[in-house]
Amino acid sequence: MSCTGYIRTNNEEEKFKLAEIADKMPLDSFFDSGIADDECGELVNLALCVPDIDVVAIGPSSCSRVLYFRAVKKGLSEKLFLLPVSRNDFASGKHLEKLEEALEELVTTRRSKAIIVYITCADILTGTEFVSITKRIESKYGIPVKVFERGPLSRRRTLPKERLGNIFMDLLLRGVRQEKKSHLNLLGDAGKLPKDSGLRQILKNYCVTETIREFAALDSYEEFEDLVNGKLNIALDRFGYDLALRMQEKWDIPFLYLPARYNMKEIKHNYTTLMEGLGVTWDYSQDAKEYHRVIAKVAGVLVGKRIAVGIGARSFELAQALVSIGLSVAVIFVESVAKPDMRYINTLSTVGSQAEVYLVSNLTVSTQTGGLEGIDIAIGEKAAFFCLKAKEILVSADYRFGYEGILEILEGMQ
Amino acid sequence: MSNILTRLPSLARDYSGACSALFALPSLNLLYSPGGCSSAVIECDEIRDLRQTLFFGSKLGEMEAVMGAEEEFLFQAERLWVQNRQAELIAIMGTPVSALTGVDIGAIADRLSRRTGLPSLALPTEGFETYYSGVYHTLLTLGKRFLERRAKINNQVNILGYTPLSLGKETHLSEFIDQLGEFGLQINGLVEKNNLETFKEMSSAALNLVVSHEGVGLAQYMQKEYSIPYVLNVPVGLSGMQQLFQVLAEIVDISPSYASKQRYALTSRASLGQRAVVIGEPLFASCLASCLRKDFGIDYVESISLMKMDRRMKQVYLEKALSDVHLFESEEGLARWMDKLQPDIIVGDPLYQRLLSKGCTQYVPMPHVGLSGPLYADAQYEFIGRRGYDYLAGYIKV
Repeated sequence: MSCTGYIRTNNEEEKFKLAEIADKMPLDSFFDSGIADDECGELVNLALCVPDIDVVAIGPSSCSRVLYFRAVKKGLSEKLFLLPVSRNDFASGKHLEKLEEALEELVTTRRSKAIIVYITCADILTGTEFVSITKRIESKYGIPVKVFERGPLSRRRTLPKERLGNIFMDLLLRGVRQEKKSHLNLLGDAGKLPKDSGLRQILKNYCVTETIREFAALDSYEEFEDLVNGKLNIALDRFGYDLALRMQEKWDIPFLYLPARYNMKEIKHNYTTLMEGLGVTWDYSQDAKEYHRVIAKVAGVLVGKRIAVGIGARSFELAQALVSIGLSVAVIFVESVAKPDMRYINTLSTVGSQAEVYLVSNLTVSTQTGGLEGIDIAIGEKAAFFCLKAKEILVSADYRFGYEGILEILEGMQ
Repeated sequence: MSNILTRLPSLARDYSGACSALFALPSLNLLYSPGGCSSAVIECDEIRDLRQTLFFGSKLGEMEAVMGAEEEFLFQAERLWVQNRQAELIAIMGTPVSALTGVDIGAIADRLSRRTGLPSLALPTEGFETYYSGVYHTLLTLGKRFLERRAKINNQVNILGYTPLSLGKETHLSEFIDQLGEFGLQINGLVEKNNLETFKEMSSAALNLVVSHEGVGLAQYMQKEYSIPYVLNVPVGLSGMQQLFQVLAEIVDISPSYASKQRYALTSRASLGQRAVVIGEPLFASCLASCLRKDFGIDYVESISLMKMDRRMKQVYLEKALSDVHLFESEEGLARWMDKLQPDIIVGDPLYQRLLSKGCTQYVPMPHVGLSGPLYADAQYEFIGRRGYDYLAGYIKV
C-alpha cells in the first residue's frame, strides 16, 4: 500500500528488463496487492514519538484501527486516542462537536503539551473545517492543536512527511530561543540510534561537551522545544533533511545530511561530510577494511547464488550495491519506480546486470504460487513474500551509518 | 471520555469481514478505495496467508476520488482478471470514500460481469459497520447468488459463519471437524479453500451448523429456500459437544459412539457461588457462558458483546441462542457495568483487561481476532470440546 496516489500508466506487465524501464516510466499500478508496506506506518509513530504530544485520530473506524496496531507495535498506543465517526455523524457534521468535547477533555485530564489531530480521506473529501475548533482550544488552553491530513487524498503538492515536518516546525516556533547553542540534534524518523551505532561512537568521541539529542528518542517536550537551540543538525533521512533545512532557514542552524547508504562511494561521501562538518579527522579505514573482508568472504560463499531484493524504496540502491561487489541479483521487487531510482537502474544496466524488475501489484497468482523457484536468497519483506524457498533476510528499519547497513545484510547472507 | 476509544481499537470493519468470508473461495476481491483502506486487511484483520487469495485495493488520487474513477477501475479490474484467470467470481467492496462520494458499486459490478463473463458481486460495505455486518452480508449475497435447489444428501452438514475474525485459526475447529468426520458426515462450508461448485453443493445439506451470529442470515435464507434446518452452536467445552451430539441425533439421525460419549462426559462440579462474565462475538460468548455453567458449575454467567448492532441484521438478534447476550455500544458503559458487577471470572480477549479495575478477578484469555487482530492470534488457547474444557480448567479454580 502506498501513501501516494495513482499515476496513470498503461503497464500491465508483471516484469521488466532494466533497459526497458526508462521507456515505460512511470511504472505504477492502479491496484495494490496484499503485502504490508510500512511507508505510511511511520507517520503515526513519528507524530507519537515526541513526549507529551498526543494524537487524536478522528474518522471512520476502518481508518483508525490500523493506526492503533501500528502504535502498539512501537509501544506508543498510550498517546493515541481514537474518535470513531459514524456515517450519520459525517452527514450531519456532528463529529465536530464530539471532537471539540474530546479535545477539551484530553487537555484537562492529560495535560498534553500539544495535540495533533489526524483526519482522514472522508473529512478531506467533504472539506470539513477544523480550524475554528483547533483555534478555540488553543486560545482557551494555550496549547497548540494541529491538524494533520493523512492518507493518499492528502498528497496534493507536499508529501505526508513534509506536512508532518511543517507541524513540528510550527510547534518549534513556539519554543524559546536562547543564544547559547549547546547540543547536536539527530533528526530522522527511524527511531533511536542503536547503542552500538558507529555514528553514536564518533559523536561521543568528538563531541565531548555537547549533548546529543535524538528526535526519535527525546525524553520530554522541553527537549523537543530545545531542538531550536542546537549547534548543529545531523539529518539522517528525508524527513530529517526537510526539518533541518527549515531550521537552517529559520534559525541559521547548520546541518549535515547523512542518509543511510549501501554503496561504497556514497558511504565514503557520508564519512567525509561528517568529518568536515565536525571539523575533525576520523580514520574509518578499519570500517572499510572490515567491509572488504566481509565482501571477500561473502563473494566466495555466494558464487552462483541468485538473489532477490525487495526492501521498498531503496531496492534499486541495494541491488546496485550488491552487483557492484560481484553478487548476482536476479530479481528486484518494487511497488513503483521513481526518477531517483534511474541513477541506480542506469548503473545496473551499464554493468550488464540481467536483473528482472517485478512490479509487485502486477504479479500474477501463477508467478506467486510458483514461488519464484531458483531464487536462493530473498532480501526484504517483499522479496521474502514471493520467493517461498529462498533464505529470508529481513532488513532492519533502524538507521545504519557507514558500512553498517550493507555489512548487516552481507553477514546475514552467509 | 465516553466518545473516545482510549483503550481498545474498534472491531474489524465490514470490508475486512467480507474479505475474510471470501478467503476460501477463488474470488478476485477488489476494494474501491483511495489507497489506505487495504492496510486494515493486510496488517490487522487477515491472519491467514494473503498469498493464497486475490486481494487488491485501488489507489486513487484526489481527482479520481472526487470525480469518480469507475472507468479506470473497470479497465484495471478487467486486466487483473486477465492476469488471474483462476478466479471464479469477482467481489467489489466499498469503503468510506466510495460511500461518501456515492460510487455505484452495483453498476460497476454489473459492467464488470458483462466484460469478463464472471459473476461479479457488489458487497454492501462502507467501512462504517463492524465485520459482523460484512460477513453476514457476504454470506447472504453468496447464498442468494449461487445456491440452487439440489438433491438432499443426508449425511452432509454445512458449517456456516466461520471466519478467523470470530473463531481464530481454523486449527481451533479441528476437534469439531474430526468429530463430525467420525460420524461419517461430509462437511461443507467456507473453512478450507474450495471452489464455487463446492459452495453451491451446500444446498444439499441436511443441517446447517452456524458457528457465529454472522452466519445466521445465510442459515435463515437456506431454511426458507431449501428447508435446511439450522442450529446455532459453537461446541465449546464438553457440554458444547454434548449439545452437538443431541442436535445430530435429532436432525441427522446420527448417534455418537460410546467412546465419543465418554470422551465428552460431563463433569459434576459443585457450584461455588462464583460469578463469571464472557466477552466476545455474541454466539461465541453465549456458548462459552453455557460451558461455564454446565461444565464448571458456575451458576451466574453473563455473556457480553461490545458492538453496535447493524439494524439490517435485526432478524439475527431475535434468535433464541442470542437472547441472553448483553450488547454494549461503548467501552465506558461496559467498564462501568463490570465495575458494578465485580465478577470473579472473566473470559475474553486480553485487550479487555484494560477496561478493568486492577486485581479483581481470574482472567481467562480468549483472543478475539476481530478485536485484537494479530496481537494474540498465535497464542495457545482452545475452546472446542475436550481441548477447550482442558484449557478453561487450567485457569478456572473451582
